Amino acid sequence: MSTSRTFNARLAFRIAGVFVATFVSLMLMGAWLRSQANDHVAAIHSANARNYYASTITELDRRWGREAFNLKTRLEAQRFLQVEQYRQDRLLAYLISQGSSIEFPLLRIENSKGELIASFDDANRSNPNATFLPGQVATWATDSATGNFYAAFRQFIWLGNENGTLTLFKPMDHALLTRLAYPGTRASLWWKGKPIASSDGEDSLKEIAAQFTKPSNGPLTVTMPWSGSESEFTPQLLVELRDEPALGFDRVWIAAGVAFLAICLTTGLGLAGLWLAYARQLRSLVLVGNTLSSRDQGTAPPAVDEHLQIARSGPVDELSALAGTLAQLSQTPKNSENQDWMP
Amino acid sequence: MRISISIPGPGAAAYLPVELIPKIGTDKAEGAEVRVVFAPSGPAALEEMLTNNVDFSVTGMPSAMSIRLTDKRLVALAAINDLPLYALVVREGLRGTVNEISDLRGKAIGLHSNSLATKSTSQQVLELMLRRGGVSPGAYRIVPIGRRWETESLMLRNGEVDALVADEPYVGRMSQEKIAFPLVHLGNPDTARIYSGSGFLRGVLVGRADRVEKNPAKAEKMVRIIKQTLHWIATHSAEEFADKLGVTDRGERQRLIETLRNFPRQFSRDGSFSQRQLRETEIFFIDSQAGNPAAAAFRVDSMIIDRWAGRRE
Repeated sequence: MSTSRTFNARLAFRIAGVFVATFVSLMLMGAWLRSQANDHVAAIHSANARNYYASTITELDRRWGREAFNLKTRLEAQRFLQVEQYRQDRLLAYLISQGSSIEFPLLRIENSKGELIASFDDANRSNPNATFLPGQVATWATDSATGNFYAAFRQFIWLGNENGTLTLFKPMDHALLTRLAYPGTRASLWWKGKPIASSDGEDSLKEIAAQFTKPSNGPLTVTMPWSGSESEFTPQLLVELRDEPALGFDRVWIAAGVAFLAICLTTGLGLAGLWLAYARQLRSLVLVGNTLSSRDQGTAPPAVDEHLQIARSGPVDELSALAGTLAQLSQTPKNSENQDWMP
Repeated sequence: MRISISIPGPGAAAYLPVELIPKIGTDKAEGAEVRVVFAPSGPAALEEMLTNNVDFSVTGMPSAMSIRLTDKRLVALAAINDLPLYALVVREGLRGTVNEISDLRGKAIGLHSNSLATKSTSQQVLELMLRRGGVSPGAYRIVPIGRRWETESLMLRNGEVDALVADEPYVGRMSQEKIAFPLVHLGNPDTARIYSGSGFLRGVLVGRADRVEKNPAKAEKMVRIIKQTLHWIATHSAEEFADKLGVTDRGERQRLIETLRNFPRQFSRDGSFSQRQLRETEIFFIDSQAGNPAAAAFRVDSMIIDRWAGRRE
């Protein structure tokens, strides 16, 4: 019996080893699949975010250019700029009555000598300084007092007897980025190596500056110039993908655990049935052996035939053959004894 | 800690406590630096907050309730004002022609509004006054105006608008400078009795629920700063108030002092919410938005966070 226990223990140990190896393999496979799936989803998300922001920036630039031109033509059509005495009041009344429908909360009008002749600021926001190169119609401007950053647009405007210049300012602020933010992303605008606006507001600027030394492309980041070619005079948009991974470890562990349990259950049930039949076959043979070795002369007890029948119909072919041989042997002594007693 | 807050203005009396903060240093006392950002109207100030340009905003409670109907992120954190000092003023050129509210039919009315989707407090006040005066919503023309003295007075002087809803001390100044005269003044107790809920909570500190949840320490600090500022106002004279604000123009200073003296309940004394006033605000809101089932079902308590400011009867 001790041999049988040793065998059982070794078998159980090996089966347990197989189960552990299966479990570890399932977990590793799950982790690998999770990583592959998440990388794939992140790549799709990244490509979508890049396309979205690129097309949105292009559309915004187009819209601002269109609105800048439309506002100039509307102001010229009012003709109040042609009368020096009341052009400031009329300009204010006209723009105030437009409410918040105009894109540009700040504007300045200068005559051909560069002297300021009228201006508008919807809420005493700022006084940005914009420097245009000859022929340049759009540039970037900052207000050193407040740190506010603007896109600035310049064009000629008819003052009655000469063309002046109309400069319009569009705030590039947290609100702008919040409004255009793509779901699952955080966008920050960088200017001269620093983040100046974020779709998560001012509080996030410090965190972004600590996290990135400069805008760059990576598995979870997308960088693009706001418009035109990339240079130190172009603000950069840094987009961080901030979605949770599509597949979390918990889901992978649950799936792998369920698969492992299913494997254990089916393997266990299959092996247990086989093992019980094998044990029954073997036990029958052992009982037959014990009975035959201790039997007295005469025919084999009826129980031996029954055990031999069980052993012959067991799952192990070799043991069935052995049972057959034992059945023949159990009959042999009778014949031999008869022969020995023959005169 | 840097804290930013948007208010209509500059110079609008209802929001002067916020302008006062950096000048009396209640922010520094709390280890913070408050940056005040001005907006052309109450809804525009709220927009600045909802789109992450600033952390908090101060606006009329009815206006905040109007936005809360569609944006559940908006929460009220402290009372800044107490009683409203709105007045319906008519430009001086119409003196003798416009004697009562019903005479405003067909006229151009100035409003600090910028959207069909939400209503500023002054718009709700105006609509209530005109409805009570027998002027239906389709019987006048609305013209947007800015929330500053320069813009309001300009629009009246130029005749771009015939009437508008203004705050003190602008109302007094318009009268003195013969720009406009008050037709109805809610600061007058006899007038206020006619308009249900006209003792509504005027100005409140509002924030975004998600941001308050993420950084409650900042919201708590902002409320403490507001409470200290209101306490300072309650314990100092009108002259000291004007001096700290840095009002140098003699006439403007005098008008501000008169307003502060004549309407001592203009500002809250401690920032706490009054249960009775919240009920009155609800009545005003429902009445001014007659026909809006969402407004009728709205309960003001759903947007109040009083854990720092407190609540009283």
